Amino acid sequence: MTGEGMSYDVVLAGRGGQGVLFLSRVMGEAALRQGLAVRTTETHGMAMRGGSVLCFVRIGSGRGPLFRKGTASLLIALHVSELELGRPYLAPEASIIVNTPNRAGGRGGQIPIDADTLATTAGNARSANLVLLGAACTLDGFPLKPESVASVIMEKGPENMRPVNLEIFRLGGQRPTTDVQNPR
Amino acid sequence: MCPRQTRHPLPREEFRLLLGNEAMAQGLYEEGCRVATAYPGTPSTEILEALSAFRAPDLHLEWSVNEKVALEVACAASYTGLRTAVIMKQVGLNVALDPLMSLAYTGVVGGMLVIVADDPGPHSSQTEQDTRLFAMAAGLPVLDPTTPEDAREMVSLGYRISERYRLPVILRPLLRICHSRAPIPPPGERKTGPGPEFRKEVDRWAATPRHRLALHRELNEKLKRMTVSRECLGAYRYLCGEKGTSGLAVVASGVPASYALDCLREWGLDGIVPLVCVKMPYPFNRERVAAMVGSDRKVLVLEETGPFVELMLRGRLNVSGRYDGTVPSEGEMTSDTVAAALNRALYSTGTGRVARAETPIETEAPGREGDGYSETPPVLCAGCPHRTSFWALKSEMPRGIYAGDIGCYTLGRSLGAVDTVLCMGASISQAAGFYWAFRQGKGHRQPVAAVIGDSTFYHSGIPALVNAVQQGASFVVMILDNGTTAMTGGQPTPGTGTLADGGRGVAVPLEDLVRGCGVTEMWISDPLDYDGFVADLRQAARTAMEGKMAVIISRSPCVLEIGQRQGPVPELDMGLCSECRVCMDVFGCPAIVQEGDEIRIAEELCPGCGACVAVCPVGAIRPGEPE
Repeated sequence: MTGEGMSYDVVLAGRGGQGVLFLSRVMGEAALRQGLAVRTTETHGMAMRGGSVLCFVRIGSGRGPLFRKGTASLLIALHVSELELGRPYLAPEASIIVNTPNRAGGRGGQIPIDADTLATTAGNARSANLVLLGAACTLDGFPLKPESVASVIMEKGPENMRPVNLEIFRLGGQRPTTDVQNPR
Repeated sequence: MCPRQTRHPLPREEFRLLLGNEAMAQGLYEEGCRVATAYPGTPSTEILEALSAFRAPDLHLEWSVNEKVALEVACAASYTGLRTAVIMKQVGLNVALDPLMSLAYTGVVGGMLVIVADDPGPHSSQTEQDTRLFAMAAGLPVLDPTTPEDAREMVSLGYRISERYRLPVILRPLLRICHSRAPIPPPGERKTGPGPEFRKEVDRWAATPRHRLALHRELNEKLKRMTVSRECLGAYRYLCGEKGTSGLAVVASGVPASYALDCLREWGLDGIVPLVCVKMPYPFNRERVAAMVGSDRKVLVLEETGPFVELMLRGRLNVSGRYDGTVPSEGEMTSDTVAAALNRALYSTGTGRVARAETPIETEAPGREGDGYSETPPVLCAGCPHRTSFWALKSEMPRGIYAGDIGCYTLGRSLGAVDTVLCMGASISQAAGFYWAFRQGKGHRQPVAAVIGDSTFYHSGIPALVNAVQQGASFVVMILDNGTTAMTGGQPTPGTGTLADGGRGVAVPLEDLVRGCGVTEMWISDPLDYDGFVADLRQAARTAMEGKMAVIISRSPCVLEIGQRQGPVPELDMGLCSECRVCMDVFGCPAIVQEGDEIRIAEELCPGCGACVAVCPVGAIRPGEPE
């Protein structure tokens, strides 16, 4: 988000049941708490049965819910094999955060994170999405503040899991940052 | 950048991030809607659910048995002066069209909104039909929101128009309105209206053909008045470029209007290219729009899904769009579609800088394909009883023709157990058609099965079954009774007796209806008790071949409704496994996964239904030990 009229656009790619919608909602509400304009899209119906789910989150200006190919700043892939579906939307200098057990799976400039293992170890296998969001919060130019995301996490999802989810989100923010600067 | 204020102000702290569907529900609550009816269908489903969450004591809401019934319930309530709404997806309107066409003649008293969600793409529908064409066919005004914020405001506008002209008003949100979120102010106070009063007016409410002619004349007069009214003229707005000098003008409605504004702003052309947004596409004032656009300009029309506004302007202006093929006539218009179409139109009129004039104009929905990759198709859930029902059907009627229907179980296609899908309820009537077709032949007797879900059976399977029985057809009807409308997120069916707000109603059991349709041979069987189920199905198949209609109710609750664990996770003995992959590739259970060379049953995905035990041809899958 470099100025008036610009938006920070994020593509979320995953499969039905992975918490893609939950992640988009957390991001959207965090943006709202920072007084930022925000629009998100969701996929319902057929695609919810384990099929591909692509979500668009626009933070900042923009009236239409979809953004164009080659324009997004960030792709968060909750499932490594859905990454390619989101890739066409990325701008050349964009970041990619991908959930994969294989660190070598992070091709040029991708940030590979074994979010499933991290989340499972920390106590909620279903919150791998929050690990990835924690990592996103460390990126240059990412408009959401960890505090605003944390405050949303403490109000969403099953009540007894909220402290664990918050911890999982923080773990994501502690990833090694050595891969980050490499352009794709 | 454009100095013009955006129409939607920056959100304040108390705003909430709502789906377009939730925003419309808030509008219905605020505007004092007193009777709301719906049949679930993507992308419209969340409207009634969100309205129910307001828990308004002076509101009756219901999941009706189908869209026709829903519309009739709501319209009678609005005869009494109450504000009402009926909500459905676009193909639901096909079912409700009979009462709607007639209702346009009789009109209403209390404001009535017919909310019909369109699905360009299509993402979750059998057609891409454009509800605006149906509005014109019926002679009813239709509103076309460009954002979720718009959609909420149009609930209020729609009620005003409806009450002023005593006509139902169609509100047509596109999928990208229904299922996108935007900041919405907190709900305002709920309006109150007068109580119900029914004024008998037999020449209107029970009009005979002679009176119908008068009512038709009245309808046409209303539409004529409306085209020059404040509401209609106010529905045409410049989103940008009012004083623009370009040789191109853009006329847009729905979400494409929003994409067009985003593009023109980004390219710095919002002061040059006039963009006229049509918020009420019917009735249409051609003169007004032509005057706003200017007659010497080329006009690009951007809209979903059909060429409605384009046809309205054709012959009057130099227009292009989805009718003349400038933009593909099918598919979702994405921001990329709009950008490419604008680029080309700008190029042809020599306006502004044009970066990629040669970019093809495509209308493929996002996420269908990436660079050499295609989307992962949806599958039946791990533990879904439908999978087992299909497996049994294939094993007991291997040469069968399987007439399928609409719901989660359409996914039975991947098991090779669904041969046809046409529309809601067609499985039983199509099975009858196959039966009669093969009766005309002299050769073998063709086994035929209809597979239909419980909610779909209530919706429109009943007349088809009555018809088949009465005609003397005989085939197998398998009713998949999981006790819910699963595909759309688990709305209650009449079989459970649960109401839309969670309260208790009266249950109408499937088996009573089946008997009432004249069926004498019926089995009620649990597909997860596989051996018992197969035995029942075998008998049903034999009965059908002997010339009697055979109905098997496959009864087992939706795995999403009962939560995760049903039993122990089965054990896969890799010593016995022949790696034939039948359990993965044919049965298709997503809990059986391959990681590297290893095939395993993923404990975190498996709900322990145990169905795979019977599926393995070499007996390598054994029931798990109870914990």
